[in-house]
Amino acid sequence: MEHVWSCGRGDVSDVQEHVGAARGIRSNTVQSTLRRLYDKGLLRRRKVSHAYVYEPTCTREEWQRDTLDRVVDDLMAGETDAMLAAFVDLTERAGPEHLERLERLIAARRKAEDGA
Amino acid sequence: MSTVILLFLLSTLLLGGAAALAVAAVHRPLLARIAGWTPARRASLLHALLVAPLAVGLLQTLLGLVPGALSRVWPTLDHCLEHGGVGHPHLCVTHASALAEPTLAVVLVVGGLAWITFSTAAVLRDWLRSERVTRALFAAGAYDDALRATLLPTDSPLAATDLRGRVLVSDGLLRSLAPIHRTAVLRHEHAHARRRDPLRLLVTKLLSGLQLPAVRRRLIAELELACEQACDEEAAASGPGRVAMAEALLAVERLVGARVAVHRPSTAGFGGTTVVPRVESLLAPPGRGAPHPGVRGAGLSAAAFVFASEPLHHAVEVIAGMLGA
Repeated sequence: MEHVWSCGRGDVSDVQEHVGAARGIRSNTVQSTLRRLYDKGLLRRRKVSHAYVYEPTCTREEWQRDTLDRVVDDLMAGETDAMLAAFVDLTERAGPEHLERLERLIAARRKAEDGA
Repeated sequence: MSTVILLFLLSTLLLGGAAALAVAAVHRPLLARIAGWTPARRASLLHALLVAPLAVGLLQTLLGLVPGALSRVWPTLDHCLEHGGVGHPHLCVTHASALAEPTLAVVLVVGGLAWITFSTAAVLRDWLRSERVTRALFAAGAYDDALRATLLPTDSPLAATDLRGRVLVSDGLLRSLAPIHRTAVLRHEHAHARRRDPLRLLVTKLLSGLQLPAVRRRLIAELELACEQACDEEAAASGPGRVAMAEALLAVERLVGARVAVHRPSTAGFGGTTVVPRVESLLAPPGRGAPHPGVRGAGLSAAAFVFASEPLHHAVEVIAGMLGA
């Protein structure tokens, strides 16, 4: 993905030359990986002559942001653990009736303070 | 297993177990009594109460060993020879005697250690699991000098402090809050960092393994609430004020609730949140300080603790004798 983001596009031989060769990865493996990334929606492809050329469907920053959103949402859903002192409970919510009651209490207190 | 080690562990577990039963007996009236204390003092007491069984078990056992150890230098301190009686085990580094039949004592010790290990292991497992997530979150963000926090590029509303006292806040949260509420949130998290709440809570959880499970859960929940309230008060007093702090709590709760409703609707749990008591506490008059025992009170308590060691030590030896008969 880093290579495709940097160059804007790439085919199997191109990625193999710049990424695979240095790591001893064969072109079959590069091809499978690009296909998996395409299946996951991170790449789109078009056929040029006999080969597919792959392009990213989102920028690196967009992907990072989406991934981070998912990680934090998982935290809030209790699907992952983190020993963090969060500002509000990550997994338990106050029901709407509680929130409305608290809002009324706060509004009354504000009114009393402003009056004073 | 060496006799001294066996008797030492047995003593620690018996005395610690007795202390745990005592905490279980008094914790409800005690919690009612300290409800009006300032959150910071409540938190301190709850930390002490949670680790009390292990601390009492260990300290009383060690105190009981002191006369025997000192008798090597001052023979007049030697109290073991006064016991008399064949087969009365001595928990003593000078006159340790073997149990006639140690099986039951060994079973009790192994069972007690397994109990502590099980509850401690659960805490350690959660900690190790959480380290990966925390590392990833901080790696994804960038430290902001002005905020004194790591800014996370996500729309998800998150503000939190980790075990190392580092503050994490999402740009999505900051964008959604009014300036005074942003200040309130950040000051609250910095208060957690200054108090080292996440780390102290972890250590307390690790050392509270001798508590009865239901009592432990209740006390930990009360401690977590007290820590949050202490940071609410500290943040409110540093500028925003109690009402703005309450407003910030409500605003963030609504943001998180809205986010969960859209992105993880099936997982929202209602009822265990601390937001309600925290807002109510901020809108109520501030708590009173805890009554201070003073030097004389503290001295009397310490003296009573030390003088109790001899009868407790002897009681443990009697019980060990009954177990090993």
